[in-house]
Amino acid sequence: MSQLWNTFIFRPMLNFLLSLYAVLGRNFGLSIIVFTVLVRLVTLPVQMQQMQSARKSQELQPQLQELQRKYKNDRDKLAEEQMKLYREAGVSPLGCLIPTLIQFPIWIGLYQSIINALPDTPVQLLNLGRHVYQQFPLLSSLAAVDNLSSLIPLNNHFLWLNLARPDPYYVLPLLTVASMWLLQKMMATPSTDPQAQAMSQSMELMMPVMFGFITLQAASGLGIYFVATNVFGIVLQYFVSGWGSLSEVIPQLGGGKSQTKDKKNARK
Amino acid sequence: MKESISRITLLMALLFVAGLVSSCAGAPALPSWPGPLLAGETLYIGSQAGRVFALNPASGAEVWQYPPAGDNTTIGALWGTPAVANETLYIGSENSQLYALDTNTGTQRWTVSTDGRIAGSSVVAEGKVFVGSSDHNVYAWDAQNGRKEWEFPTGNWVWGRPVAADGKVYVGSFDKTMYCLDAENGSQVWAFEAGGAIAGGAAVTDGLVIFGALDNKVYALNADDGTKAWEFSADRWFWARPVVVDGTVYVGSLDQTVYALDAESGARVWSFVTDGMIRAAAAISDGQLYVGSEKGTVYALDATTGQQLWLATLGKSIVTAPAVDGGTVYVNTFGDALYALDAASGAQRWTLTPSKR
Repeated sequence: MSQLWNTFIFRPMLNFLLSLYAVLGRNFGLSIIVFTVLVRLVTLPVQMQQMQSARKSQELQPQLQELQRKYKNDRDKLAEEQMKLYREAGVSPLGCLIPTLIQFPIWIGLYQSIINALPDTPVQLLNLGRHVYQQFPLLSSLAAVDNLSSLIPLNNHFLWLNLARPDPYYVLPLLTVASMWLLQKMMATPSTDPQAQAMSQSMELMMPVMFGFITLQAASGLGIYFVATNVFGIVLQYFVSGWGSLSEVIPQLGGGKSQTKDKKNARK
Repeated sequence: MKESISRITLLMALLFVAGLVSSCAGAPALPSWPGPLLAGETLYIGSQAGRVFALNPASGAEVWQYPPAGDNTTIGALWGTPAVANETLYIGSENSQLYALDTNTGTQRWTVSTDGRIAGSSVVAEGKVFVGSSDHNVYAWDAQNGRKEWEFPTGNWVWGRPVAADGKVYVGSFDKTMYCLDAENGSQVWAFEAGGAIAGGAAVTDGLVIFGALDNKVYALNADDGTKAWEFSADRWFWARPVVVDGTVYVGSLDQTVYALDAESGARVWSFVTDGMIRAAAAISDGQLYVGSEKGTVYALDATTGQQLWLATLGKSIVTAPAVDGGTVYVNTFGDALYALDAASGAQRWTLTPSKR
C-alpha cells in the first residue's frame, strides 16, 4: 500500500515540486504557491462539483425543514421523504462526500511533498534521497539542471522565513487562522438540524485554530501552503456562492456575487 | 441524511487535522543513527536515547555511560561515530555541542557549542579536534581543553567527517565544495566545486582526496592543488565515505551498489548489488569488506573479487559504518540494536539495545 502511495501520489508530486523550484529561479516559497495553485486547478472540477452540491442542498433547506416538521415523530418516513426530495431535485447525498474523499490523498501528498523537500536532519535527507527521480528529461532544457539531486539542499529562504523552520514572528500562523476562518465562514451552510448547526459552528472556529497551532510549530513551508490553498479557496468560493455566511458577520460585504444574482432572480 | 453526510465530512476533516497535528506538533525527539567505534579494549557507541556507552566488546557488558546511569538527561540525537585520542572521546550532537569525555570513566572533560546541529563525526589530529556543523562552519578546538583554535565558514551545512593529513584538513560542504584548509590556522589552501552537495567524508591516500557527492559521482582530486584526477558516475547519490585499501577505493551508493574502483584511474574493479541503499562507509579487515544496507542486511564480501562470503539479515536499517576487530563485526541498526557478528560466518555473538539500559 505504502509503495503504491509513494509511486503514484507522493513521488510524482515531490519531484514536480522540485522541478518547479528549478524553473522558478530556485525560490521554494514561490514554488509552493505555484504548486498549490496548480494542484487546486487540476482538482477544480471536483471542487466545483462539491460546491454546487452544497449549494443545491442549501436551496432544499426550506423543503427539508417542512419535512422535518411534518414527520417529526416518524424517522423512517422522514428519511424516505428526504431521499425522495434529493432524488427529485437531482442532488446526491454523497455529492459532498465523494469530492472530499478524492481530494484527501492530494492534500496529504502535497503536505508530504513540502515537508520532505526541506530536509533538516540526516534522517530526513536519506528519506528525500529515496524518493528523488534521477532522470527528468524536460528539466535540463527548461532550467539547465542535469538532475533534481543537484538542487539539494534547496534554498529555504523566502521573505523573512526559513521554510524549514516555524515562523519566528508568528505572522504565518495568524494568516493561516484568518484565511481559514474566512473560508469556513463563506462555506458554511445553514442546517435544519440544531445539533449539526452547532457542530458546524464549532468547526468554523476549531479548524482555523488547529491549523494555526500546526503552523505555529511546523516548518513555515507548510504554512505557506495553508495560506495559499485558503486564498485560492476563498476566491473560488466567492465566484461560486459569494460571501456566504461571511456577509452576516461583515454586513458591508453585501451578498456577494451569487447572492446578488439570486436577488435579481427574486425581483423577476 | 445530508446532515449525517456533512458530519462524516467534518469528522474526516478532523481526522486529517489530527493526523497533521500528530506528525507536526509536539514532534518526538529526533532519531539518532550513531556508529560504533572500537578503540583499545573498548567499544564506544551512542544510543537512540541520546547517551554515550562504553562497552566490553567481547560481551557487550557496560563499562560506563554518559550522562551517568540515574541521570535522566540526554545529549540529543547523535549522528556521528565517536573519535578517540589521548584517553578522550569526542562526539557531536544535534544539540549543537561537541562533548569531550574521559574514556576511562565517562566523565565530561569539556564541552563546546556551535550555532548549528553537529551531524557528522569529528577527527583528532595534531592536538586539535576538527568537526563541521550545520551552522556552515568547520571548527578546530584544542583537543586538551576545548579552546577554539579557528573556524572556517563554508556556504552550507558541513555534515561529513573532516580528514586531517600532512598538515591539511579536507572537508566537504553542502555548498558542493570540497575545501582543503591549513590545519594550523584554518586558512583555505584550495577549493573544488563538485556538481552536487557533499554530505559525507573523504578519504586521503597517495596524494588523492576521494569523496562522493549527491550528483551521483565519486571524485578524486590531487591533494596538492585540488585539480580533478578522475570521476566515477553511478545511478544515485554517493553519501558514504569512501574507504581506500591497497590501491582500491570501496564506496557504496544509494543505488544499492558497492563499488570497488581503482584508486589511480577510477576504473571499476568490481561492483556488488545489495538489497538496499548504502548510506554508510564499509569496514575492511583481513581482505574482507563489511557493509550494511538500509534494508537491514550486513554483507561480507571478498575485497579482491567482490564475491559474497556471507550475509546476515538484521531487519532494521543500517545507516552507519560497521566496526571490525578482525574476529568480530559490530553493527548498529537504526532501531538501536547493536549486534556483534562473527567476522568469518556472520553468526550472531551477542546483541543489545543501549537505549534500554
